Amino acid sequence: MKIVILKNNLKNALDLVGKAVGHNSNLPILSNVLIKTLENKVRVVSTNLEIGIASDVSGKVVEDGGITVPYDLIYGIVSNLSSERVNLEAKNNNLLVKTDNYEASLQGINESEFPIIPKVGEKNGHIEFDQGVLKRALDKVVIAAGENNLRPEINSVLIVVEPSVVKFVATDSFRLAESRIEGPQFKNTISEGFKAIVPLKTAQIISRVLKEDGEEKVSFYFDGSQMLTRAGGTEIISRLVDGKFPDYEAIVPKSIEAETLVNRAELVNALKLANSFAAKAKEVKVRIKDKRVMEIYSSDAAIGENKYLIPVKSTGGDFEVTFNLSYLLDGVRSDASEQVYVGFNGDSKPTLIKTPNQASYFYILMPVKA
Amino acid sequence: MENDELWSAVLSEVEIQVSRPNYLTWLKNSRLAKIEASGIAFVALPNHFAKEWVEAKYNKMILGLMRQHNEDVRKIEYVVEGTLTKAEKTKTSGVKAVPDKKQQIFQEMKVDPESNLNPRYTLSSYVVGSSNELVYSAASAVIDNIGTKYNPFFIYGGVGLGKTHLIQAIGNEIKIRHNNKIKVKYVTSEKFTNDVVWAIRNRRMEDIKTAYRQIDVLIIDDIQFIGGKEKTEEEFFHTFNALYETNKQIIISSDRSPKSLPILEERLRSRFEGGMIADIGYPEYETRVAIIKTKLQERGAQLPEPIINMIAEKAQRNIREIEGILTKVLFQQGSSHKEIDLSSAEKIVSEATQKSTANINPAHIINAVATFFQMSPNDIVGRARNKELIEPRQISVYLLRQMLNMSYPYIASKIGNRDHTTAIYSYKKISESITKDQNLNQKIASIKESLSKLG
Repeated sequence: MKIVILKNNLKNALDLVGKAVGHNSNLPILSNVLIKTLENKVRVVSTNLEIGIASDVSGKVVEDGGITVPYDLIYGIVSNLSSERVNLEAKNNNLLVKTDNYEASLQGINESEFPIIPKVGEKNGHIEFDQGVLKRALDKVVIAAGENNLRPEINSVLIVVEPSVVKFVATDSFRLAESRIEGPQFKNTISEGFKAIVPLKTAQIISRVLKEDGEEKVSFYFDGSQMLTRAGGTEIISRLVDGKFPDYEAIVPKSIEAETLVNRAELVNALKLANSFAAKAKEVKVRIKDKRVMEIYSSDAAIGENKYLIPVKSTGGDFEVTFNLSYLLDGVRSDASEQVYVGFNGDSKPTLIKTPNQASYFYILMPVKA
Repeated sequence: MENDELWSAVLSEVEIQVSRPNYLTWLKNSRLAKIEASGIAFVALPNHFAKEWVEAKYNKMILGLMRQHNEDVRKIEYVVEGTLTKAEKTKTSGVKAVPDKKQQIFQEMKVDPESNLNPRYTLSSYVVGSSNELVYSAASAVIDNIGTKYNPFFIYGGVGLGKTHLIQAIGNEIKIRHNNKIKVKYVTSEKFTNDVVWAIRNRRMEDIKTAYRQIDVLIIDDIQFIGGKEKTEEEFFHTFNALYETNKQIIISSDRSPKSLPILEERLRSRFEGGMIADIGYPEYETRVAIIKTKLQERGAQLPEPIINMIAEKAQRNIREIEGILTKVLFQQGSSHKEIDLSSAEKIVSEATQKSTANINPAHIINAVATFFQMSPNDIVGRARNKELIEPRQISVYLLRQMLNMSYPYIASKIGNRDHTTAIYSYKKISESITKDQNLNQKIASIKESLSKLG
């Protein structure tokens, strides 16, 4: 292999694949990254045997071939290079890195030892989104996902595909978030509706690869127990979780005891202030008085106490509910509208948080026992 | 040679020929699933990466070794079996600090996603008295003879008398006894309807058919809600038949007997009547005391004997009401840090038993009665003198008087513009019968339940 490549292109590709670099003591080659030529392009590949990422970038191919080198080493070198162009050449399992004023020889491992990234069939059709739309939908739900490896079915994001809507759902059993992408915002060539459980790590990697704005598209392909995500020149291949996602629709409250409208920025501010007085317990009390005042209260025996009053519009009587502060803040912060809707259901039933008059997102949270 | 033996013989030779890391990564969690008569051997591997690798690099070697032991093997197919890796998932790295115990979790998350059963409902916590002896022994018979003795098993009874507890407990017991080898599935008729609707919308009817027909014990809760939903009813009918014909157990609960499920299609009703039908009655005083004691034990709480007896005596409607009262009494006891006295407990009980009726108006009551008897509200307020209208009218009068405390002349003018003595008679008639007639009591309890959802 012999290529000439722009430093920034190579660095971008290395950035993208970094998340899937494995650390497996059984198979040391997993901490390597594969650099190879592919039809006049340069492909950079990493895998931890659960997820595989391949990123294609442009470069001048002088001679075809490929080699694997330790990821951390090549990443460190490329990040610190000062020249724009880099020459890469594979020779006897060594990678020579050359610029105008720098030269290095890295000991690598033969390409043939690197795991083969499984193929994901594309004949079932695909779903296509704008990158920014998908990123926002994913980011709003991953905050609620469970980071518990013992329950892979909730250490995940559920994707529900229906003809006119795609839903993303995540829960850690204390809270649950659902975001929707509606009909005109996606293209679907898959003829049937279905549900797939994507590992949380995969969802996080997909979100990182996506661009916030711009016209670029991203597509999902599903094939049996695998999925492929293609965004620009990057492909992410992941297994799907084999299991059943909880019957989440049963969790969504059917009725609300006290519907409350509050200014989002003020509530976020109040919760941040309350945080200083909730060092240990991480608990905050939300009180509604006379249907028009919300009091955010927190206290700590060693620090003191504080309360913050916000004018609100609420139905129902006076009451108090206690929440885990950061869980509540996650839900309030996840959208951007001026007002936020908080539907309280007493101290033992879930509270619903959403943007008023919008069905594209909601967040449900169980209170803390008083 | 057995598949397992054959495979370990093959592996022990592979182990010598490939490097240790490669062996551990790709072949450690593998197994020989089966060898077909056509000579194709199926080898299961834990993930797609292993499949790609083994197929590309070791297939020739493995096939050769396999043929040394079994000459019939011509070809190897590799399949991915996600369950193979599960045994290793004991690492707990990356676990976020679990919030302290006071953080409550969604009730529904305690449910086992495979069977939909809540492990909280067990047979041992089901209190048996004379009101539910029959249904309990029938349930035990069903557990002992799945699918053969009483099929379908149809349980009916009023709101909050423990139907859901009993049918879920049957499911849990079957799962435990058979070590999860029998596939049990609990669904509410609402969930079944949702599944059918989702499948129709997304053209996945086949999935529903296969999913529901693989079940060994199907438990359907609140079947009355399926009535009138044509497509759901039809799908349920076919599922029912498919399971019934293969001797799979079907357990159904309802708030009334199959006979009084008017909108249910005749062919379904006759199926239900072909099995065992048992009703759960309202528990008598002694059973109520036992129930309260069991509930207290579950919560690890204690109350003095006189208070338990007082609650059992006064909470006469249903068990859910008892549960609500216990929560309040225990809350008060917990927040004041001392044992609650009889008079404050009495206050809580009387508050709980006189539900707020603030938001209910006469039209609500008449509508609820009409819905329950599946007739139009106009029939009740009309002047027709058909026999089947008598009971709904009397119940309406009773509820208007009892819940809203309306005057007899006013009630009489609302219900068919009759004389107020008719209203007085109706009220007395129902008040007297309600204490003796269990059936009537249950009807009124369900109507009140539907009203309390409004309030």
